[in-house]
Amino acid sequence: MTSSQTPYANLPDTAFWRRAVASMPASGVDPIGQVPFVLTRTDRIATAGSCFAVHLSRHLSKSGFNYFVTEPGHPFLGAVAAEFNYGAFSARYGNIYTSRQLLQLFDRAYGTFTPAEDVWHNGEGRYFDPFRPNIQPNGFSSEREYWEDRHRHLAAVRQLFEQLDVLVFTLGLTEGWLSREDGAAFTLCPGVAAGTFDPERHQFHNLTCQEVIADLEAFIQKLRQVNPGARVILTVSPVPIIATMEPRHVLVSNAYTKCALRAACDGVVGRFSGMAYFPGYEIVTSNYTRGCYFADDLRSVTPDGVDHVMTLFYQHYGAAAIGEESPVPAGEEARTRAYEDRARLSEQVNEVLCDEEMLDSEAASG
Amino acid sequence: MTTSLRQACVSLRRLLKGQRRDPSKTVSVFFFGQSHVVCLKTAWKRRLYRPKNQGFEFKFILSGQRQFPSEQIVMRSPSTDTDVLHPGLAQAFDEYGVYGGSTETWLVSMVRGNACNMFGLFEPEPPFDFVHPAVPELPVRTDAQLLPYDAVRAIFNQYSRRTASFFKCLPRKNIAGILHIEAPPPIPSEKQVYRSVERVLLRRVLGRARGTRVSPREFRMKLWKAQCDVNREICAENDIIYVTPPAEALDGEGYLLPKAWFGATHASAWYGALVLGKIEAVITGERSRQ
Repeated sequence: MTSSQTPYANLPDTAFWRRAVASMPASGVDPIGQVPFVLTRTDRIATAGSCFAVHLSRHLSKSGFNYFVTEPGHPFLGAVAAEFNYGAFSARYGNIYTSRQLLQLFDRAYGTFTPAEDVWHNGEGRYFDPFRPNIQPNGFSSEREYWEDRHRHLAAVRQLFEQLDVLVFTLGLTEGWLSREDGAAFTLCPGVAAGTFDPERHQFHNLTCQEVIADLEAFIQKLRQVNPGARVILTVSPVPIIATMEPRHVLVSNAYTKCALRAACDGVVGRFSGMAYFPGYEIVTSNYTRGCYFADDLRSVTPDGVDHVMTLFYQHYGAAAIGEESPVPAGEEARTRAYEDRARLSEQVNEVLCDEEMLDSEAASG
Repeated sequence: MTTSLRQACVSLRRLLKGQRRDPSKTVSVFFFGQSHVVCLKTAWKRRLYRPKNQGFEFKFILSGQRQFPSEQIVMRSPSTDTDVLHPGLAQAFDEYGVYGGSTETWLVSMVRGNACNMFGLFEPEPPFDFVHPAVPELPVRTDAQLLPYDAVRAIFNQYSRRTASFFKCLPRKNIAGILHIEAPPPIPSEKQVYRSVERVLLRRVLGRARGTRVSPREFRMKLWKAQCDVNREICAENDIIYVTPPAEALDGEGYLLPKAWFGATHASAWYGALVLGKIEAVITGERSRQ
């Protein structure tokens, strides 16, 4: 058997490091290959996950695709909405770093899990959500607001899960903090953004690859129960972990985290139809970039890195949508137009009222 | 800074500026603002109120949106690139000798009190609602988007930046004190509000269709309270005495009593007389403390 007859002989260039990576300009590297499904402009695309997912949300919302948001900012708030995390993701759940949080978000939304530690109060009249402690600056201003908002937020999450066509979920961490009482997975260690750390009540846990797979499988099964046609694209955040609780170097922990998440994606994707892995992690972190997709802090992804990821995402998943009419601009723009129209009327009527009532009053005084 | 500490600082500053009270001096109180100042002016003109203290003089120097547009209470000076008082007000201060110090001078502002009505006299489209932390028991509409109180307050803060700048521009030399009077709270009767609004819309003043819904009273109350919160804070930051509406004019829930209603968003001369009384009482109280 000569070398031309080996199983490698007829493989495409993308199977070979030298041809697909080493000899390519960085911007030309495209590791995506065949995708199991494509997106149309009418598909409702939802996002969730760790902080890198925010880039995805921002791009999708501007791309003409149907970025599905069930908890949008109100036009009254204008630019203030962003400070309160409207639009960062499809609903106002903030960062979801782990597979456990995603699974528990589903369970909390459908009432099958009610964490024992469900609200944090700082003793100064401010209330914080243990599962989205940074969702608004300085928490909620009253207990009533907290529970009203929570109730409506979880309703928006249910609507999202039931109506989305595609969920893009970005896995970020394996390390996290759980309640010793009921296993509730907190977004951050209690005490970091809000709440108080108590070793009697809170414990560190580093998810194994098998646990991540189990969480994702359970989530997908539950999602399909309420939305049988839902498709899921998994990604791994290329942003390194910021700290580790394991007694080892953060670089070593980061390698474990990303490897476990990456392996878990392959462990899940092959077992369900309508699932895909999108290699944003590889695009940004692989050595062909010579580190140029990371900013000076060696964590933040540069705009060029994000552009590379999104260009390939649209190229492969959005190809079918090119040339399609976008049905969407509708939603947000229409809401804003309607609001501005009413606000203008309100302003005009108020001005007239002020003038008229002033004249009436002056006339009455003689 | 606590209120008493702030008060002590203000008194000390006045002492250092030589502004000690001279009980024999005339006390001149100058009023300026937009439409909400009119009920005070009307009460004064109709003699519904007369100062209890001898030597008190009330003078209305600018009132109404046309004389003193709310968007121009301060204007950018092209020569200094800083905010300066509206020239009409600066001129009025000159004409009335406000800067002179021949009388004990108090300034009373009623500027920009209409933000809550601009934002919510009519049902916003799409509707929104919020929980005000001071009245969390008020109903929250389930068919309206819930917004965080802090976010709503941030919008009032944006609107009030001009007010804050205005307060900074007001003269301090030879001024005994500055008061800011909060705009009247909402009229609870939607019927009363409709009547005034419909009159405007019916006459096609705006060439617009009728049928725009007036917001529920609780929503208007919450907006008014958010406006108060921001104004109170701006006043505290600028050594300005913040004056709330007179309690006698309010019902048990804090809305205007029918006797105080005027049109859709304003208060009557009866209310104006009560406010004048409160202003005199506040000034008298301040004088006795200083």
